[in-house]
Amino acid sequence: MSHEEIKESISAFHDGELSQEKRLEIEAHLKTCADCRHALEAWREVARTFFKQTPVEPSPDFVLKVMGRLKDFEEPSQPRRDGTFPRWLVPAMGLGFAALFFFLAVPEQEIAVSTEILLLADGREGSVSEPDFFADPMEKEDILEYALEEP
Amino acid sequence: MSSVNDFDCIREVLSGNREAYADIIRKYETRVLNFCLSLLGDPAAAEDAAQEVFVKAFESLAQFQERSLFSTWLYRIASNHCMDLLRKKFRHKKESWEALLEREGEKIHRLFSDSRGPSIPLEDADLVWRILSNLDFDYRTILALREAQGLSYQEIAEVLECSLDAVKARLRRARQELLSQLKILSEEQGRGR
Repeated sequence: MSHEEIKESISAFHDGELSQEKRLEIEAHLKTCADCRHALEAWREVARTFFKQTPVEPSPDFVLKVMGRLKDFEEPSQPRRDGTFPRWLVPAMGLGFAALFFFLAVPEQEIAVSTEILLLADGREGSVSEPDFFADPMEKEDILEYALEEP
Repeated sequence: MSSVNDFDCIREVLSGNREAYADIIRKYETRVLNFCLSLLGDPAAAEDAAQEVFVKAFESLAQFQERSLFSTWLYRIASNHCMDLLRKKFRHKKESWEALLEREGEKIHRLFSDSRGPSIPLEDADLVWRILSNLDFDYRTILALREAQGLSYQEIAEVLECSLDAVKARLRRARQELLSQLKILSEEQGRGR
């Protein structure tokens, strides 16, 4: 390893997280490199000062307080351990609900009034009355003629 | 109590013996409390946060997968909870390095020049916290997990849900950041004398 690579590994060396081979290499390097030695020492001092403080003890009633708060909760249930829940069901059910909603929400189509119905309804009680559709008698004649014309 | 016993204990709680959870709390209360203290810096807030962590863990106990250690799962809950607290409750604002130096220059110098035992006086512990609180939350978390809690890289990776390489890189950057900030503080303090 180069000097720079070793300097990068000083942190892991300090943590004892290197393979034995790398650790030995760095130990040998530290004997001759004041720069890397200084980097390691600097961190050791900071770690001692900042993180090796005497642990704070919890209050004597810590456990009681937590256990008291748990009374408000139901018992946690046993988890599913088989891990066989088919996760694809979630989007599939979503799609199913979306399709159902679509069919329920779309209004029924209005029934188109064909020419044939119009002709049959002409003049009969309860049917579409003539004035609604044929305000102009000439227009009525034209449409009837067009409808009865041979193809 | 080994991790195997942790799992036994958890199964007992899940099967209805709520009192078994007290054993879990007793085992981890000091660790969780001190981890919260590393992140929050206030002993009273840390105690409240630690209690909340155990309550949250109980609520989610059924979701605990026995793929990792129970302790790393607890640390993850604690880390997330403290981050939420800092975001929501404290509206945490960093004290600038300059302001810190101006007010506490002498103390900072003494902090590193005295030869001390393992216990740091309370006023200096507060100063240590104020220096650490200027680091990013992620850096503070990973340094606390490694240096104060003594977790291995593998355990840290489980807590932070990241790769071993990411742990290695983030720890290196966190240390560089803290050292460089302390160097600046030290140089500024030297100039001010």
